[in-house]
Amino acid sequence: MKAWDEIINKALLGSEKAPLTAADLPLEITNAYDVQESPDKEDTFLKISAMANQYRQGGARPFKVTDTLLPIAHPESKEYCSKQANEMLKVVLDEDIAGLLLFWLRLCSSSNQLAHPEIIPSLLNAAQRKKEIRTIIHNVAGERGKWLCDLNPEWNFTQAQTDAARTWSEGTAEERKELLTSLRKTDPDAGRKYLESSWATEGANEKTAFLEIMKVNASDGDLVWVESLKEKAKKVNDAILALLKLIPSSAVIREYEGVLSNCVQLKTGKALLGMISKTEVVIDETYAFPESIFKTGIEKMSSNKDISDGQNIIAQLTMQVPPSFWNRHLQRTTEEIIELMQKSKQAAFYLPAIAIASVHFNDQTWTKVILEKADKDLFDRSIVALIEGLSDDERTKYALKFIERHPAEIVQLMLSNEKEWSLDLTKAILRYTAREVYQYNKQFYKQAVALIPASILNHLDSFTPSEDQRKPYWQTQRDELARLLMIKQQTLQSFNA
Amino acid sequence: MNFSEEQILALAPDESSKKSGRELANPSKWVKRELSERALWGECQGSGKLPYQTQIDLANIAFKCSCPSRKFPCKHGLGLLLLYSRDQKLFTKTAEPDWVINWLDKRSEREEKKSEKKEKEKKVDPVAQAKRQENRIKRVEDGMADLKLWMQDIVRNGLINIPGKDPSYFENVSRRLVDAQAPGLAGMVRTLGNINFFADGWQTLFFDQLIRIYLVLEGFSHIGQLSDEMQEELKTLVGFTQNQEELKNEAGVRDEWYVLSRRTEKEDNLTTERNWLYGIQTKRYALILQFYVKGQLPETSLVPGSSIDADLVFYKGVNSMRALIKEQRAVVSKKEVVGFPSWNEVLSSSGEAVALNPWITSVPAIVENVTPLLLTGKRILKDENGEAVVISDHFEEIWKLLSLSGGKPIRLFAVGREQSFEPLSAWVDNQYIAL
Repeated sequence: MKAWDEIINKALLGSEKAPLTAADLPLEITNAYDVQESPDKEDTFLKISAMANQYRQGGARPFKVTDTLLPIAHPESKEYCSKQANEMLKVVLDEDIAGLLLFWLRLCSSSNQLAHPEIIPSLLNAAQRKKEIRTIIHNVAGERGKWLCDLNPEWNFTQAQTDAARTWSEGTAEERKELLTSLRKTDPDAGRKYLESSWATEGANEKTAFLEIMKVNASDGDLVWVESLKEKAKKVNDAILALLKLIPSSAVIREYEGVLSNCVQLKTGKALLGMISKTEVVIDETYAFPESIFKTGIEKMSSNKDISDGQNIIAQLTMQVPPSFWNRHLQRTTEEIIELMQKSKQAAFYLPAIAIASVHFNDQTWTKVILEKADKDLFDRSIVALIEGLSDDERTKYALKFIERHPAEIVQLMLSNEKEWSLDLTKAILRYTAREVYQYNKQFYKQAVALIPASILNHLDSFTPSEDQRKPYWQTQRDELARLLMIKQQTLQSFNA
Repeated sequence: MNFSEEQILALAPDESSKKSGRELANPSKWVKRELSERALWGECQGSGKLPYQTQIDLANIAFKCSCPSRKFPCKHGLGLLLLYSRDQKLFTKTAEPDWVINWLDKRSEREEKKSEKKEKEKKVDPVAQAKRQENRIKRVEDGMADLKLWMQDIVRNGLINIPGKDPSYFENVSRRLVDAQAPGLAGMVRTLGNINFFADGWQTLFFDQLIRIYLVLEGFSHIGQLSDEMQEELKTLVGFTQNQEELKNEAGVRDEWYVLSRRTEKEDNLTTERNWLYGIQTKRYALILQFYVKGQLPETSLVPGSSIDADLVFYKGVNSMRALIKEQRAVVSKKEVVGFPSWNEVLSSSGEAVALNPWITSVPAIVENVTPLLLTGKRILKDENGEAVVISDHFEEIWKLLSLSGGKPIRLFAVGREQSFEPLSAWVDNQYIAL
């Protein structure tokens, strides 16, 4: 209202400099009322302003909106989850129970249901913070979620997911790395093809970063292209070499295998006065190693006075060839090779290097045989890494076997399981976490609850630590775990009802 | 009675009570779960030998528990009500045990005793009271004279220098008004000092408030010539309190009152609870204010989205919306509310209200078929006629509101004035959702 704006301008200056009179009022007021000015300028100012103020408020009207500004969200093709499930999601989000959020999302997604509209913004905020749950949140947010993502630029990550080619050509460095990582996990060839298409235009830093990502699911399919790369920058060439060392049929690995074939042999002789034959692994540690291997990252000199240069070189080569090479070269089963090497002090020295190679090439057969048969002291440092490469079920089996030996590392490792822990493994883990009650707090249980079976509720009292000062802390953690497990149970029930 | 989890949790005194309440919403925690027409009760095994006895008055939503917690409602009360809301079949309908009957009877007795006590309190010396009143008015008038001089000073020198004033500039005047027994006016002056002088439009906010104070001073100086309602309105604005017990003796307005929203604000130790209600038959809005300090129980627990059959008494004044619950009979099944068809009607109605009572700072309105929109940085609420108001800046749940709407019109409850409103709740497919 123009008259009011003028009054405000005068009010800013003050009645001394800009007095207000009845003439400042709109005609509608002066025509209808006899406006009396008082001798006091300030009183007149307030009186006239009060009338204009009433006039302004009484005449306030909504403003006209002409454009159709917002499209309507498409109707949903799936059903909404139950009210109860929606309430449980609110609990999980309110209390930021990370483990149960993914648990809820998986239940909702596998039931082919949707989250209620009122909670979708909170889910999209969670997706903004955690990239790994974006796809599943996108799935349970339905059409309403897509509609909101179009409105809010901060949530437009769904757009990036649906248009990979555009992200690769126009996205930020971070978005491109995310895309390549995701493709290497799901469709490694497609990921490589994107990189091939833009390789010539990438800078050295980008090339190095992308080659690092290419290590995910590196395979023979990548070989021709990676071996064809000719680069000037040393760091890019180092990254290419590191990638080639993960591809079993690469020239560099074939060369290492050739050297090892010459250094390591099986020798069969007679024992017990010639009554039985005896086979042993013989290793030539004084072999004349070709100079070419030292140009591919193998160290010539040992830095440990107890390890000779030859031992050091053979150990490095062993770490970088697939363990299956030994089956081919020595013509023995994995069990036989481990048994033979353990018999000889010289050969046993190289077993930890084979364990590292098993992890490096994720060779499940060798990993399992090592975990079952090998001398645990020899492999001690590799045990957790070996377990890490196994499937959930196998992990559980070996985690249970080795938890007493490496409790903290195994607890940490088992947090990345997809499947719920077995009751036995849970008991073993809680026996440890209850004992180390200062280290494993409520936050740990919030993270782990999705993996802990609800059937543990009946056993929680059995984990009470023996030290009196730890008991009250455990009691708090135990109550928290029980509460979280109840939320988990209720979530499950809400989808099964 | 059918409460949602959110509605029940809105009654929790703090976050930890919500958590614990949810934990106890588990049938295995309750050794007994029973109900009657008027109450719900259960026994919850705690850390002691005997289970805690928890009971809920369903007619007036009140809680009692034998646990030692000082929180109200305690986690057991919340847990039991949550459990009931999730699955009523878990409760066996049976005769009330003695401990439930005793509590419910005592509640009625207490109400009666309260009335009796207040009856006794009423017997005061009228002469002494009149003398006290006369003295107070004299002090208030002296305080008002000082206030007027202070305001004239502001008007003379202009508002331009106001943002640079020290907070004590307002605080000192406010304190003098408290000493002059005009706490209402003191609050109005404090509001002036609390305006955000960095935000756009502070000039109008400030001047509007200054005019409200001026109108109180002018009105009070001619109070004898005004209607009874206006006299009461002015007295309330100055800070004369209305005796709640006397008010409760007035005739109440019986209706099914829909609880539209519940907002709490905590300042220091004091919690202020603002509950907006809407009469299904009378189509009248009511504001129930409750004030309580830590450890104190609010008189009533109102659950947003539910309806109560109650008699409300409105405070004296011009079109007063502030009310008290005189008598609450029961929580009733919800009826559908019907709101204004357009913003134009809301603003016409609020314009009329402001013409009668210039001190109204905001009006409540249920509005039908409103579409929330984002308009180049502005957040607006468009009605069916293509007319709109803006959403007030401090509203934080814009994405929740947009998500509920999905671009389609919904029914909305909002509070505001002129072209700025704050949504407090919405209905989608007749389902109430608090914002």
